[in-house]
Amino acid sequence: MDSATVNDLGVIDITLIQLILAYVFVVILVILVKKQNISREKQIILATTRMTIQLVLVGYVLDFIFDNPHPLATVAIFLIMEGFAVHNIIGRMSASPGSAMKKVIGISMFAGTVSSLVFFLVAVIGLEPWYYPRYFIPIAGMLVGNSMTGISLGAEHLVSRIQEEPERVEQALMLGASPETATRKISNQSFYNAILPTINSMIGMGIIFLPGMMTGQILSGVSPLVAIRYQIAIMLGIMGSVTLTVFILVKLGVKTFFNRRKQLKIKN
Amino acid sequence: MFLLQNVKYKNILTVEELQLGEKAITSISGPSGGGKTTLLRLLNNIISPDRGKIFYQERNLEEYEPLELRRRVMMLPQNPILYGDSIRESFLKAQEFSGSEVSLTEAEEMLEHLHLEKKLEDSTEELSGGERQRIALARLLLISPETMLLDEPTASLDSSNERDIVHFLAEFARYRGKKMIMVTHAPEVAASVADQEVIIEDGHLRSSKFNSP
Repeated sequence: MDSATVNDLGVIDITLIQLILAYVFVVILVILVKKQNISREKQIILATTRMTIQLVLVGYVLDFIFDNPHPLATVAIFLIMEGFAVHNIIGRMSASPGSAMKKVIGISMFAGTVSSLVFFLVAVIGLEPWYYPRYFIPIAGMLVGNSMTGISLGAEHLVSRIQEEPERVEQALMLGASPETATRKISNQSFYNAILPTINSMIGMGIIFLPGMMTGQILSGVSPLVAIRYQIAIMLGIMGSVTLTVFILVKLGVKTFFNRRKQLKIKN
Repeated sequence: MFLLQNVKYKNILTVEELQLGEKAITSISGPSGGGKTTLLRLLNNIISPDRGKIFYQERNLEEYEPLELRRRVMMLPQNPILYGDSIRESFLKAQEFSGSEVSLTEAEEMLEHLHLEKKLEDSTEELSGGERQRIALARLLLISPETMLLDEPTASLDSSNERDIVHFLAEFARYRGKKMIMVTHAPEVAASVADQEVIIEDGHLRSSKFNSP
């Protein structure tokens, strides 16, 4: 501990030289990969560089926004997060979604995260002013990030299953099923796939791993008892946000596959 | 029962005028790829024509609430999906889709009528095409909608089974006052029971004739 600098909060500051030392892991990895002829050095270096630049930039941006809190800046950051999340979801889908489905992804992401965020910040945290960026931005980031993973998994299942097996849906319609009933099994599985990572992470939390936010708080000097309260609250918020976004996605998403005559649109 | 006027669907089917399904059994035959299945799909309103009108009981199909129509006019496709790990589950699924009660006691009897020695607990996994078709057929007969559109319901059966089942279907329809419109690859079998025989070739109506009782 002699060489480390400890600040007023009892937090060890990492100096630039110490930070550079951490890159030793990357050097080791690159050497290993080269020796094994895996030829992925470029990707490792690119990912490390991207991560470094992105985090440095975001550090400065957040530092500025935290020092100059303004509702418009907070909302702008939130919208950028949402935009990237939606872009990411659509870009990663193996089966290309139609324009109506893209809209549904955007609507469900926005409606689900905004309503859970408002509830969380106002009712649970009691944040004042509501746009206080030190709380708003990291919490919004966690809700948006987890909902993005949920929607990705849910939308992927929904779109690919209906596109791969339209007969399954259509034959149920032939027997008089409503579009909702004809797609119920697919919808339920989409919903389950979407919430599974959140459920799994809740089950393992505290035993298999310590969550990032809690670890961060503890490292920055917050008592573990306060950190767990935040962590429990944020996990419940994440579950709420994921559930709500995916619920809206599935409900609206199914409708995009049918026309007003309740006919499946992707066949013939 | 059904009246098609000036109907066109892509380059697959064009029908100027056709009346069908007035009597209990209508057979539709013709070479494969000629538009027979498309005709059934149009009648089930699972697809809509690009132009023209289709009437069911003197009412345009487009005026029906789709669910109401498909619960009165149901279609059995050529390769039916059974939706369920067991035969029982398959019947229960049909009940859920159609909103009509399906009696499981009658289900076993119906399977016997269709020459299928299976129990409701039996798995649907290793069934042959013909067995799957008969289970799906039994399912539809138990739901018993007023009109049944059957796409080659006996295609995977040997000729003696086929003849027996077609006769059973005809009897069922007449006795219960139901209508069946049946696409068939064996017109001679269908002809023996059909009240109306329709032939479709290359996407056009070749002929439609009514048989005297």
